Amino acid sequence: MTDRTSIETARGISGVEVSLGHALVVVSGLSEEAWGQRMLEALGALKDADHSIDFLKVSSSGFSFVVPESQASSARDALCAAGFDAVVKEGRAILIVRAPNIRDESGLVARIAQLVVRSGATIEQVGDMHSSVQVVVEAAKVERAASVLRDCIGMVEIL
Amino acid sequence: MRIKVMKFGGTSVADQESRMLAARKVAEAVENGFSPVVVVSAIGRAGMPYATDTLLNLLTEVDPLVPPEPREVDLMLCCGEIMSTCVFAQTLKSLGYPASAMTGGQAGIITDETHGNARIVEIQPHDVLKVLEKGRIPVVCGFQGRSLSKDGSSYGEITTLGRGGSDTTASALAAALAAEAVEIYTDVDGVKTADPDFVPDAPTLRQMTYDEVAEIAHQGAKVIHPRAAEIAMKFGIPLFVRSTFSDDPGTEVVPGEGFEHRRATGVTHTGKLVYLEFEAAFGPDKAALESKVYELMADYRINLFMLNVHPHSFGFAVPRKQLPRVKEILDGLVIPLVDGEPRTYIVQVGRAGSPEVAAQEQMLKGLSGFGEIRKCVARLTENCTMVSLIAHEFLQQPGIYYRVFECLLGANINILQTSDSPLSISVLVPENDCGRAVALLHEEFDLASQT
Repeated sequence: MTDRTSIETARGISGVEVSLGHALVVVSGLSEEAWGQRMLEALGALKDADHSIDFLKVSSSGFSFVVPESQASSARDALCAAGFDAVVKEGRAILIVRAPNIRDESGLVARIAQLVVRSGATIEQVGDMHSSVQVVVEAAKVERAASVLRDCIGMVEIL
Repeated sequence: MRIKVMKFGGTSVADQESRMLAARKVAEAVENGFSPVVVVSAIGRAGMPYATDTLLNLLTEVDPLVPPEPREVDLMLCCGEIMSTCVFAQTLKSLGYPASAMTGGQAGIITDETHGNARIVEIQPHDVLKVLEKGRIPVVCGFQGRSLSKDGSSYGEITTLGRGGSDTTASALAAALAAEAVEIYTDVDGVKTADPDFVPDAPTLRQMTYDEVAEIAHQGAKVIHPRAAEIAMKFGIPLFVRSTFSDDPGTEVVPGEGFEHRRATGVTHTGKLVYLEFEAAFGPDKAALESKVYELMADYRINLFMLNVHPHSFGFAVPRKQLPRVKEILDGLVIPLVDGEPRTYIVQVGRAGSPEVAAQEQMLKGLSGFGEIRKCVARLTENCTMVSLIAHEFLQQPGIYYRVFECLLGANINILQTSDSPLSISVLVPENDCGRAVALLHEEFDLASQT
């Protein structure tokens, strides 16, 4: 039992990590009319080839996702064999920005995105969970972005 | 001394009958050899006379054009919990258990100075301990504390802890008192695999990890606040979510180590979102426009969901209640770019341009120095909701997205966007399909057998 206890994690960014070795796969040319059917065919092809995918994002004409770099060619081949136009962008990294309770920190996701773009990196996808935001960027620019974000650790004034 | 912190939410203290049931839970803990510390929320929920929202309305209704100061909002809101502690302490006394009502400040809850969303920086539990040592039950106001002055020399203002603040109070007190457990009492049996409004037979999860409970709350379930789970996790305190109105054992929240993962835990929904997709012939200007839009969303504290980037567009969802603010900020926004050939973008929110956008365009065309005037249209998809499958480590299995898409598209539910994290997969669907989407995913991932 203590008399004075440090209790909560400070708000804002509390840590930044980098995960290297990822690739972005971009599929284009889906027609709007048969979008659902084609999405299922594409996801089915990836499932049959035993690929687990992350950061799936859809648009009216295609979709993109992230896989480990070592599996990118195989994922592309599976999609091409199923009749899809898939392009692999290798050399991607995931920035993991630790930020507890981001739903309570209105504007924090936007601020993190702004800082990443301002660092010169292009955001290729974003995901979030209760304690972090994950941002996919080019590996060549990830350290600069990480450095900009690390400068904000512990800054309550970030918002 | 075997300390247990027991927190009772608004519905558990809403009326004398409920308070008596809650008080009997406390009495039972005493009879079982515990020294309970009770934390209570304000009495009742929105619309009831002493509920937090009712008190807030008393202030805001004075003059809608004069917003109350955050300091006075906190003072006002604290009254709800203060009344509740006094009434609950009196209820315990009526059962023969001596009790002492305490404000958050009296209980030693010290916060930063952020009114309305303060963070607990430390707990000084000596006064709570003194009450316990006297054989009395401390009944502490949830959701509130007192701030330390900037130089740390004195205690300043009454503060409130923001959303889920009473849960946070309970976990924080449990941490400071080295309690054996913290129990969050509510009006449901524990954490359900889905909203019973959509899945009436959704079972109660008997065990889940701190991460899962925090994520399930993050994705919309209103069970326990992630801050409370985070504190319990940090200090290794067993956390339980139970019902005041039954003897069900409820949900035990445990550390992740050694826990059986690779399972789906639940399906949640976060209602009432609007998706904005920004489209333009951006070319190399996309980064500059993205940066400006994100900057403004951050400056005006807009909550972004499902951020999504494509080579020729970017987008995100915002809560519907924030859409008027977003329109106010972005519609007609002029973004001049001066590197190289000057060109200027005007943001238009919605397919049909507002008079504001037309006026800006007209004015800019009449001025020199702005170069080519281009439009960046934010296409709106209204009436959406986000449905999330919470699944720790499960998502690494191939074919999970296929199952989600097959399940929803097969039922003619349109998937407007997706998002994922190591703990969840989320889909944006039309609001009208929310209930069906929750029920279908619940069935697809066999959550009825998941306890």
